[in-house]
Amino acid sequence: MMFFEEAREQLQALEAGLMDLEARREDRAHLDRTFRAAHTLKGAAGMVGLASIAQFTHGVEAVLDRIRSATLVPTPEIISLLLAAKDHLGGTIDAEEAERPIPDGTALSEQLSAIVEGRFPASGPAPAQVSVPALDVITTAVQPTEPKSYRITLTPHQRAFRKGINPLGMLDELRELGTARVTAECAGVPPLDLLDPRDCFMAWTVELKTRVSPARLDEVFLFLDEPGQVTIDLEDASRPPSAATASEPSTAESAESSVTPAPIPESTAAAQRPTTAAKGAPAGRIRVEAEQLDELVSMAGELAILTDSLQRLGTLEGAEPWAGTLEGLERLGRRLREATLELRMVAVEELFVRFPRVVRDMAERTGKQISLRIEGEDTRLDRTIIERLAEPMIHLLRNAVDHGLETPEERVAGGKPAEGRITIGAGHEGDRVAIRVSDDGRGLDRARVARKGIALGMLPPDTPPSDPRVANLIFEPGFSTREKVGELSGRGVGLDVVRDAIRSLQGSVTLRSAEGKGTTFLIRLPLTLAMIDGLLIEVAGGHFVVPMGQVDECVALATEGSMSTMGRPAAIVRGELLPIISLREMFGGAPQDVDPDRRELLLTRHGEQRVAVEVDRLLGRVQAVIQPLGDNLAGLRRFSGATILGDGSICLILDLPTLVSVARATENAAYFQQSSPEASAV
Amino acid sequence: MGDPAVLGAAGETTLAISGPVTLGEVSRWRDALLGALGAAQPVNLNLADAGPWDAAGLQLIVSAVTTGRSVGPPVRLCRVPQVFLSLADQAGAADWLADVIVDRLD
Repeated sequence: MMFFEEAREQLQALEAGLMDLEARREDRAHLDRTFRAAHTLKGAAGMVGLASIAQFTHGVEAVLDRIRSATLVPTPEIISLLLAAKDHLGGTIDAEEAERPIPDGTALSEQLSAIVEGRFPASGPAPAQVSVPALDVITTAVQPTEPKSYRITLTPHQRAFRKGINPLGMLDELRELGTARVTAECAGVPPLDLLDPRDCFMAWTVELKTRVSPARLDEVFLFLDEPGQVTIDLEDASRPPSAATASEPSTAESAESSVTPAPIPESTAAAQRPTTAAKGAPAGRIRVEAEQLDELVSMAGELAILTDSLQRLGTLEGAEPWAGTLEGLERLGRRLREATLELRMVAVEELFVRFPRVVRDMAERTGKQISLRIEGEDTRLDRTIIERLAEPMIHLLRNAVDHGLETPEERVAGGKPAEGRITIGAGHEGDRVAIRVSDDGRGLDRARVARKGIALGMLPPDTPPSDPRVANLIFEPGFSTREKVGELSGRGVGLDVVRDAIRSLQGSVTLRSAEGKGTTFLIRLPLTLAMIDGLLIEVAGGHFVVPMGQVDECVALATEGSMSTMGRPAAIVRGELLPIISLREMFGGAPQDVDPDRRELLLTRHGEQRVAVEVDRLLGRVQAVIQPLGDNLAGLRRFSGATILGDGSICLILDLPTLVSVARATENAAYFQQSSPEASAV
Repeated sequence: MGDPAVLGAAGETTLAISGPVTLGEVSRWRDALLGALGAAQPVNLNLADAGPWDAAGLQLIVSAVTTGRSVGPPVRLCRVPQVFLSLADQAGAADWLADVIVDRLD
């Protein structure tokens, strides 16, 4: 039900808040936001009858309340405990949703109570420091297109100060939501002889122009737990907030001539808060099932392909009266496809937001000091890709922490700062998205990798460390140069999984590394998986589609320019020697109507090297709606899916990187067999 | 919390407020302010060394100024530091306090 989705959003906001708690302990607005995430979760769980979640969250809320009232300092130990509590809540929410037994949180609850009651023992040395850039809390309210003007009156309860309510924090939060003009209403503040200075007599009026939803405005005042303290009136949207003038009298100046004002009574006359949203205001967001959205996208894509085909009808004799209609249909189909594809796009921030916590936990376990930098988090990518990128990226982060970054002592001995740095960045490269994971650690030890590769028979015996094939070995299954299994990795399971996961997303992963300086993994991905731009090719009489993102360029070479090196076909393209892999030989079959004097080559990247893949014919570009192969054919790694062409025929989509890997491995095995028949096959 | 320093210049009382002026200290500062106002001559509140502040501290100053405006003697703010000016801006009280601020610290 919707509670579980919203609960996970609140947990995400809670975690983001906890990660910054130590650095922003003086930031009242941040403390309030973090508290509010727990408070909202507790309330929502109580409303749907999930008492276990409500009760446990109450313990978290109580600790956060102590922190925001400045009666408790958020030490690293306390933050770690709160993060563990957040994880427990995540597990409990999952269990409740799946109707499984919920995990036992008794021990954690007891520790939270101990903190509130001042019984929490001091722990050992502080864990490794993790500094991360502040991540803004993601607001869930969708902003209406046009800004609206509101007049907000805030009259905190007389006991507000004693209850830890911070009106100034609320004012700051309103300022963050739009253009605000704040006026203090000082008329209610009594003179000194009548003032109990611990009571609150001030009030405020805020004229706010904002695009956020009324629900979002309500959230600002969530802590005002007694009615009548705030009113939010929607004003005429065309009228801007009134500008201040020096001569404009403040409402408080009436106090100059008034008799001593009486303190504001405990219960105010305005017991109700007027409806903030005008009737008929558009809903901010609706939730749909992901499968429904995928089906819509698929149908829109097929419609676009069909309408493309219909264009051919417009060229038939006598079809002139229909030309305009066909053109309009084609335009509409294309717009529908683009709009539905856009629905699938989300910012990578949704993915990146979980990594500060991951890095923090890894730093704790390994005793390393790590700073994490995140860039380009508003880059947008297909939702499915985002979801499936989490695991491979966590693998890469583990690799960076375990293999890449040195211990603080090693770094200082090497003239580096004790704190290592990991950078995650995202950006566009043409029609692709590039995501990089970099570290400033020890870099790839090419000599060691080459030795291991030779020992395992994956490389020829005389392969120098500088050979481009050396770096690719770390992506091979079971390859690891670690003598010991580490805390996080070293079992030889990891980067091959990363590579396969990225390939399944129609992407590629490469690495650049400099010994002693660091390593960068670069992931290139299509913007969406729903449709691809592809090249339609012919091989041995069959048609296939190759994703454009996997092809650097297409080249036609005269056959007489071909050569061979080490017994294998090769070609020189603009001075670059490229091995040739023939798809016809891989698939079997005879060429049909192929020009014998000409070779059609697709140049593709294989690790740090380029390879030429030979096809019989290039037939043109297509846009392919990707259809999964189904369970029976899902193991065919050489094909990433299928598509239906405009003429209704079914066509397989090739996974070019896998095909090249298979071909190269076969060639290497054959080479070793020839040069040393006793050598074991890879 | 610092001790209030009351200087009795001719015809004026200067009260130097130092240290935090937050919920924990406002009761004591209220008493000091009442004492200063009891001299029945204009009161200069020297805020140079005052801070940090919170909403309760700001309210205390508002109350002091209100007292000066309503029943006298007048209360003025002098050597006002940026931290207080920022607080006044944050609370939307800068205009209300503008005519009682005599001078500001650079």
